[in-house]
Amino acid sequence: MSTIFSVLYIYLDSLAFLLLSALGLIIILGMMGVTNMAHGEFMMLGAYTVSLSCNAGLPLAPAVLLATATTGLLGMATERLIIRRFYGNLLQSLVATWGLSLVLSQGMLILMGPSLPGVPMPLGGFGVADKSYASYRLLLPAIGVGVLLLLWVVLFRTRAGMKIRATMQNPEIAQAMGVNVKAVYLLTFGAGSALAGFAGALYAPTTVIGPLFGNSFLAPAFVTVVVSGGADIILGAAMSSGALGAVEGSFNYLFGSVTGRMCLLVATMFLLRCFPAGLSDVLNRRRR
Amino acid sequence: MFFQVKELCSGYGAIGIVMDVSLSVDKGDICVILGRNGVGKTTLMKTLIGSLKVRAGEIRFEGRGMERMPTHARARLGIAYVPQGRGIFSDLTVEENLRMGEGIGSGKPPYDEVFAYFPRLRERLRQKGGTLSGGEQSQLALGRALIGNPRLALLDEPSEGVQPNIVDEMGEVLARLNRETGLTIILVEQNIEYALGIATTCRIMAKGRLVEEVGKDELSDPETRRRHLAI
Repeated sequence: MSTIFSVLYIYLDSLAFLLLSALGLIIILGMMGVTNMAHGEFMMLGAYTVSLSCNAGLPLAPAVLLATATTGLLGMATERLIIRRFYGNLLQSLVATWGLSLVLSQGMLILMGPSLPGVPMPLGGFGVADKSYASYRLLLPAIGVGVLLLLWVVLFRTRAGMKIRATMQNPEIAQAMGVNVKAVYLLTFGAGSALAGFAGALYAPTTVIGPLFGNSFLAPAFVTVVVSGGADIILGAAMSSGALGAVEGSFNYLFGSVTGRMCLLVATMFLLRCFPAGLSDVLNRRRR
Repeated sequence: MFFQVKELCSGYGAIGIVMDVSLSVDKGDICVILGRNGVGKTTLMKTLIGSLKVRAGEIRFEGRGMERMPTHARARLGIAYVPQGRGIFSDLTVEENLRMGEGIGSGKPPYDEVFAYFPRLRERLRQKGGTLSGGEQSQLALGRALIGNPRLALLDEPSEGVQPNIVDEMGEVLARLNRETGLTIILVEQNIEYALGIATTCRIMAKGRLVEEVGKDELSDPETRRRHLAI
């Protein structure tokens, strides 16, 4: 019983980590096709906002919302100044966003030093058998799944979502249907950045907050989105974080977290070799 | 003048394609632009809707200069555009494709009328646009344009790759719309028979320029037709 629970706990923890770190990138890479190397730095900015505002006395929940809004606005500024010039150009956008990520992390190092005061993990813990667990770690996967569902509702059940999907498919025609395509790109990139900041804010209480905060999230985020594929980004993200989380979680349980991360990357290579267009593409072909 | 183009120039990169095109269209006209492949008909249409920048010249819609307006603003004035290749959003359902058309003009979207013209669309509402046949996609593209209550429709070879009976049906729909709602149409075509069947005026395009207006009866003369259009 206690073994089952602790395996499940590690699994949900891996799943939440993959899903939440991928949330913004699902939109920015999965839908917009922008290889945003600064994704981790947007998460870092989210965590910084939480650290600064929590230590100034704000409770965690409003601090997370503040971080989401801040990174959303920063994302919109980034789109306007940098990203807009590189749509459809994979390599240029990769170099430009990588440059941005260096500027942001090194700039933060100069501005605020090597680390910020931590944020205490809320909600406390509980014991199963003789082991203790953090409740917050179980809240994270629930939030991840909840936000993914919300994203589905917005994209597939609202008029704004329909316009976004139409624009991503064929901006020229969307424009001829009265859609202000530039505004859609601006807001969509802003929403992706806001979700990155949201995820970073949620992880702020779990780890050390420094300029390189985003590094540990970047690879898992990319892996999750690429394994998901572009055919159905929502279901794809659920499938890939579910599958990869199972691999990472179980090897993490058996051999520790370093082996877990290694096996995650091996599993990614294996999955991409078998399903180059991603898991959601396999599902989509089944349906037809 | 309802819709007027004066000395319009546009193109791609350093290459000029549309050169000094002038065109006047009255309200209620069906103006057909004929021409061989590669003379700049599609480039002209893209310039009119705004996908391509105007280099020189004017575009006036109901007296308002719109050559500097972004595409979406032109669309919202009630100008519908059916591009070459139809421009269906293939991952959106038929219903969503139609709803996208609501962004064009103003007023209540005429779903019942569109379904009356194209009953097939109603049967396929839940299907993705990309799974329709070529003819159905053409109907969807036209239906989507009509949902926005347009006052001017720019149609770029809607008959391309469509079986003959559906081409005839589309021609009838266009003529009927024009008669019943006064819709003004600028139609680029290679399919001369049906285009001439519904045209009220007809212009020939050659090497990026619009040459003189040609009477419909002149074009029924095979010799004139070959001179202007033969490949």
